[in-house]
Amino acid sequence: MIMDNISSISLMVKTITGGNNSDTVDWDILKYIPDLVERLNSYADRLEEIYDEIDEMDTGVSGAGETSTLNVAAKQLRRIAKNPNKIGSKLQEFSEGSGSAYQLIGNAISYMMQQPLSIDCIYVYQDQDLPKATGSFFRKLWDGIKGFFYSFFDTRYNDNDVDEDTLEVWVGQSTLYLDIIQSMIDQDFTKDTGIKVKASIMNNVQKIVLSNATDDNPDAVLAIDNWNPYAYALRGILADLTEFDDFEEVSENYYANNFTPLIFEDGVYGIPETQSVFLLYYRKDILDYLDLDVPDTWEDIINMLPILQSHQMNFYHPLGGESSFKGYGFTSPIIYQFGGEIYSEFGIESTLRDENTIKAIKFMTDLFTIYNLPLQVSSFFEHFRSGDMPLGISTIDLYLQMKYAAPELSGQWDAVVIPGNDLDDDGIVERWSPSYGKASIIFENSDQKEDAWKLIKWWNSTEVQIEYMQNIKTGLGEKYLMLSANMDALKQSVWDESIKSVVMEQAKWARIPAVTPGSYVVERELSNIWNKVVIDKENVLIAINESVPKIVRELSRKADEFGYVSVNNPDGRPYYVPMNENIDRWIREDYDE
Amino acid sequence: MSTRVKEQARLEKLKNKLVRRSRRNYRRFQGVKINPSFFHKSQIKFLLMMLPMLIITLLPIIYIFSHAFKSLSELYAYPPKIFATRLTFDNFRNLILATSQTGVPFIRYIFNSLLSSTLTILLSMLIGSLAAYSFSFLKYKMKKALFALNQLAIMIVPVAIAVPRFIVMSELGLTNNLLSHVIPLLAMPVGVFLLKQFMDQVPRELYESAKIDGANNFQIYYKVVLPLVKPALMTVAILAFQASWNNVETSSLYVDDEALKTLPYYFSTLTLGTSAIAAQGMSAVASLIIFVPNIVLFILLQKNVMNTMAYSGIK
Amino acid sequence: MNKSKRKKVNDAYLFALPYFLVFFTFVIALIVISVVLSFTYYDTINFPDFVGLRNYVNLFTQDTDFMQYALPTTIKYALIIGPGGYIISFLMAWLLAQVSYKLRTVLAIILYSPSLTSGVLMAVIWKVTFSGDTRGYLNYFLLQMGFINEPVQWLQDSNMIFGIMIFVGLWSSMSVGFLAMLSGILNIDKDLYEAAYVDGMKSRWQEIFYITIPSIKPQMLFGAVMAVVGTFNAAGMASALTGAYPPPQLAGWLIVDHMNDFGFSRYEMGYASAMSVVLLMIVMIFYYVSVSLFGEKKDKRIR
Repeated sequence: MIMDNISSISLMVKTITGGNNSDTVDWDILKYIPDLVERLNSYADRLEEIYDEIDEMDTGVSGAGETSTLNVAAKQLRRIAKNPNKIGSKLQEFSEGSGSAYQLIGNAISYMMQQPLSIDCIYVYQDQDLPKATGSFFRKLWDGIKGFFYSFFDTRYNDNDVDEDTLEVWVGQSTLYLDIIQSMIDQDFTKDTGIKVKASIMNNVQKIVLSNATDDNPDAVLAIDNWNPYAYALRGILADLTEFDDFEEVSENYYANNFTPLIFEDGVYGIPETQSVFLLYYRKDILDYLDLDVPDTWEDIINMLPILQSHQMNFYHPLGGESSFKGYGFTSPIIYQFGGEIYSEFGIESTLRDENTIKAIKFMTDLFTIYNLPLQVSSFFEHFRSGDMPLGISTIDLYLQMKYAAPELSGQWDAVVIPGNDLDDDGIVERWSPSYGKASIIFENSDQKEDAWKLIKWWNSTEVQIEYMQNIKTGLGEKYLMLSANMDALKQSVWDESIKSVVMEQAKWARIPAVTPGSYVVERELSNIWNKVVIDKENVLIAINESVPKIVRELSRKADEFGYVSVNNPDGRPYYVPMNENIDRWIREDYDE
Repeated sequence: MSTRVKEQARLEKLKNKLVRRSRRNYRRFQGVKINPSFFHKSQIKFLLMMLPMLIITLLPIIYIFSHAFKSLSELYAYPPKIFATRLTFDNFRNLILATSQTGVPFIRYIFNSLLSSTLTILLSMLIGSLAAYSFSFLKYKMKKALFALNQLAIMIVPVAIAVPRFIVMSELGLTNNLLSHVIPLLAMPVGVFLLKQFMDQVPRELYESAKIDGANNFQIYYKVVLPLVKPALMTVAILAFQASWNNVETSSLYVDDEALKTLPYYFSTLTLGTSAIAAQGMSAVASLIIFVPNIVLFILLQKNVMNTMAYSGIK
Repeated sequence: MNKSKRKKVNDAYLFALPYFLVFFTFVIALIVISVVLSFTYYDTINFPDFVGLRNYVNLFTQDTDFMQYALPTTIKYALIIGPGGYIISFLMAWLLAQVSYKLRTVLAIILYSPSLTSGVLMAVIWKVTFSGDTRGYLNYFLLQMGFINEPVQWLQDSNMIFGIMIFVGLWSSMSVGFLAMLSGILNIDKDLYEAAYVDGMKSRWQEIFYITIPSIKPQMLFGAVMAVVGTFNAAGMASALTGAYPPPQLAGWLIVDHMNDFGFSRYEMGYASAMSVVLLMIVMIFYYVSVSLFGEKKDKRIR
C-alpha cells in the first residue's frame, strides 16, 4: 500500500513539474500536496516497524540482508521529507530507478514472498544428535575430488562408441535443459519403445555442416532455430516429413503458419517445437491516471499519442529498438496487417510496389517521422519500468523480466494482444505477428529415420510437452520457461492462466515470411528502406524504387543458382512460395480451437 | 682536537655535498632516460598524455569485475553502470548451483582448460622459437621460401577453411581428444615472425664467438639466444594463452565427449538458448572467471616482457 | 669441412621441422584448399563444382556491393587506422617506456586490455556512448547542454557510422604490435643514448628519430605488418556498433564482412574464397611497402 501511495505521489509530482527534473527550479510542491512531509515521515515510520517485526522472527540471523533495505528506504523517505520542494529532482531516490525507495520496498516484498522450501532428506530420530544440515567443508572437498576422478571413467561422458541402434540426437539448448530432456527420454521414450537415444548439446549450427562433410551427422536435431533448416533442405540433406503417414496427425497440433519457414518445394522439413509471440504491454496505473483505454487498433494508438506525448511519454514499437536492423520480426507484421505480402507467388518478383505494401511501409515510417515514436530505444524494459514509455510491443521475455526483475511493479502492468488493423472493415482486427522459435528436423542420410520420427512425434506430443514445461518450472524455475508450439500442450501448460490466455489468443495470428533461396535480400532491403526514409528523410516511393531492382536481381541470381524460374530463365522449375493464402497446399490438417 | 673535528666535519660536509650533487645529477639523468628505475616528477607529463587512453581502456576492466557482483535489478540497467552500487554474491551462488547440477563436475572443465592451455603455451613457444632460430641464424636452401610462406599465412584470412580443417582433423584422428584443443593452435605464424625479429637483433658476434667456443646449435639456441629474446617468448606465451584459454570453437566443433571439453565452452552452454533474464547474472560471473587468468598471466609474464637486457657479452 | 656443413644443414631442418609439420598441415594445406575452392562453386554441403574464373569475374563486374561498398570502405579504413593506430601504438609504447617499472606494469596491462576483454569495450562503452536513446552518454550530454533537441541517431545514420568506426578503431589499436615495440624500446642499450647526448644531441625528438626508431627496426616492421594485416582483415565492427548484420545501407561494410556473408550466410564459399585471394593480393602490396620502410638491409644478417 505504501508503494501505491509512492507511485501516485510520484505521478503527481511529474505532472506538476512537467518532467523537468532540474535542481535549480523551485517548485512549490507543498501547495499541491500539503501533507507531503507528514506522509513521507509516516511511511518511514511504518517501514521501520515492519523491519523490526521481521527481524524478531528470524532468530538465527540478525539484520537480514534482504529486509534491511526497508531501513534504507525509510531513511531515504525521511531525507526527501526534509526538502519537499526539491522532490522533483529527487525522483531517482523516490520512485524511479533501482536505488529508489520504491524499488527497495518492492525488492524486500518479493524476497519475503519467495521463501522456498526444499527438502533434501528426512530424518526420523529418537533423541540422538542429528548430523549437520550442510556437509562439512572436508566432506564436500572429498566428494569433489571423487567426482573429479570419476569423470574420467564415467561412461556417460566418455563413451564415444554408440550402439548401432542408438539414435544420435543433437539439441540446441543449454546443459540445464539437456539434462531434463535426456532423463525424460530415458525414463519414458526408451522404456516404451526400446530405442536408445544419445542426446548431446549443439551450441553451434556450424557443426551440422561440418559433420555432414565427414558423414558424421546425427540422426535428428531438436531445438534448432526455425529459420535454419531451410538452407539444409534446399541442399538436400534433410528428410521430408510429409512422407511419414501420420504427419497430419502431428500437424494438427499446430497453427499452419508455424510451418512456413520449414517448407521447401513440396515438402515440410521440420516440426515446430517452440513459438514466440509479440504482446502489447501497458502500465495500468499510468493509463488509469491519464484516463486512457487499452488500444485495440493502430488508429487507437495514433489517437492516444498526443495525450501521451504531452506528458513526456511515448509509445514503443520494436522498429525503434536497439538494433538498427529492422528484420522481418518488426517489418512483416505491419505489412501483413495492411493486406500486403512479402513475396510474389513464384518468388521472383518483388511485391514491394503493391498498393497495400506501400501503404504499410508508409505507415511504418510515418510512425517515426510524423508521429514521433522514439527512434532507438536500447532497453524498453527500463523505460517501461520507469514509466516514460507506458505502452509498447515486446515479446514474452519482457513478461518474465518484469515479473522477476521489476517486482515492485507487480499488479501495475499487464499484457494484451498487439494492436492490429481492421482490413476489410468486417469487424475482425488482423493482428498478424511472426513466431520465431525452435524446430525438430531429421537428416536424409540417417538409417533410422523411422525411429527418429518416433522420437520427434513423442517429443512434440501434447503429454510430453506439458510434462517438459512442468519439469522446467519445478527444476529450473519459471524464468526458464518457454512457449511450446503445440497448442494443445500450451493450453494445459503451467504458464500462469492470465498470460496464457493472451498468448493463445495472439498465437492464432502467427504468420511467418517464408524462406526462399534469396529471401534474405528482401529482409535486408526492407530494413534499408526504413533506414533511408526515417533517418535520411528520403521519400518512401523513391526509397522503395531504389531497392526493388536490387531485390529482383538477387532473387533471380539465387533462383538461377538452383534452376528455378527467374527473369533470366523463364523455363526453370516453378517455385511456389508458401504463404498464408496457399499454406493448405502443404498443411492440410492444423490446429482448430 | 677541535680543529681536526671541525676539519673532518667540513670535509664530511663537502663530501656529502659532492655526493648529493653527483647523486642529483645522476638521478636527473637516470630519471629522464628511458626505462627509469624510479619515479621522477618529469614523468608526470608523460602520464598526462596517456591519460585519455588509460581511462577508456580501464573502464571495461572495472565493468567486468563489478558486473559480476550486481544484483538482478542492476544487471539490466540501461545505460549499464560501470560501478555496481549494490554488491551481491547472488550471481556466484547461482552459477555454483547450476554447475553442481550438471553431470561433469566443474573442476574437470577447469582441469581440461588448464592442461590444454599449458600444453599450448609450452609447445608453441618451443616449436615457434626453434623455427625462428632457424630463420634467423641458420642457412638452408628452402629458408627464403619457407619464410615467405610464413608471412603469407599471416596475411591471409582464409574464410573457407572451416570445413576443410574439420575434415583434416577428422582424418588425422585428432577429434575427441584432449589434444584437439592443442594441435590446431600450435602453428602461430605471428609468433614465429615476432621471435625472428627479436632474434635478428641479437648481435652476430655472439653467435660467432659461441661457435668458436665449440657450442653446437642447440646449445647456442638454449643458452645464448633464448634468454636474450625472453620478451618475445613471453609475448608468444600471452598470445598462445589467449588463443587457447578463451577458445570455445575447439570444444564445440572438434570434441564430442562432454568430459573433454573446456571451461569457456561449458559456460557458453549454460547460457545457451535461455532467455536473457535467466542467464544474465551467471554469464557475468562466467565472463569474470574467464577473464581473470588472462590478467594474471599477463602480470606474471610482463616482468620478462619488459626486461632490460644487458649486452654484456660483447663488452 | 663437408661434414660440418652437412651437420649445419641437418640442424636447420631439425629446428624447423616440428613447426613446419604443424604449419603445413594446419595452415598451408588449408590455404591451398582455400585457393582451389576459389575456382569452384561450393555450398559447404555438397561437393564443390569447378567453375574456373567465374568467381573472380563476377567479383569485379557483377558485385556492386563489393565494388561500391566493401572495397572502398576497407581501403579508406586501412589507410586511416593503419598508420593512425600504428603511430598511437608507438606513441603509447614510448610514453610507457618513460615511466618507472612498477607504474609501467599496471599501465601496460590497462592499455593492452581491450584485446583481453573481448568486446566489452565495444558493447558497453561505445554502444552506450553513441546510442540513439535519450540516455546514451553522448546524446544525454548534448541534450542537457541544449545543443540538440532530439537524440541524434549516430549509429543508424549511414553517413556517420564510418566516422564512428574510425574513432572507435583508434582507441583499440593497442595489440601485439604495441607489446613488441614496447619491449623493443625498453631493451635498447642505454649506452647509445649516453653517447648521443655526450656527442651533443639536444632534444628528445632527435633522440627518437636518430636512436630509438633505428634501434628497433625489427619491431617497427613487426608492428607495421600487424597493423596492415589487422586493418585489412578487420571485420564485424560496424555490425557490433549498430547491432545490425548487415549495417544499414552497408555503411562500414568491410571486405572480410562481405566474405563472411557470402561464405556463411549465403552458402557461396567458392566465391568467398575468391574474395580472400583478392584481399591477399591487396595486403601483399602494403606488406612490401612496410618492408621497404622498415626492413633490414641485407648485409646485417647472416646470409
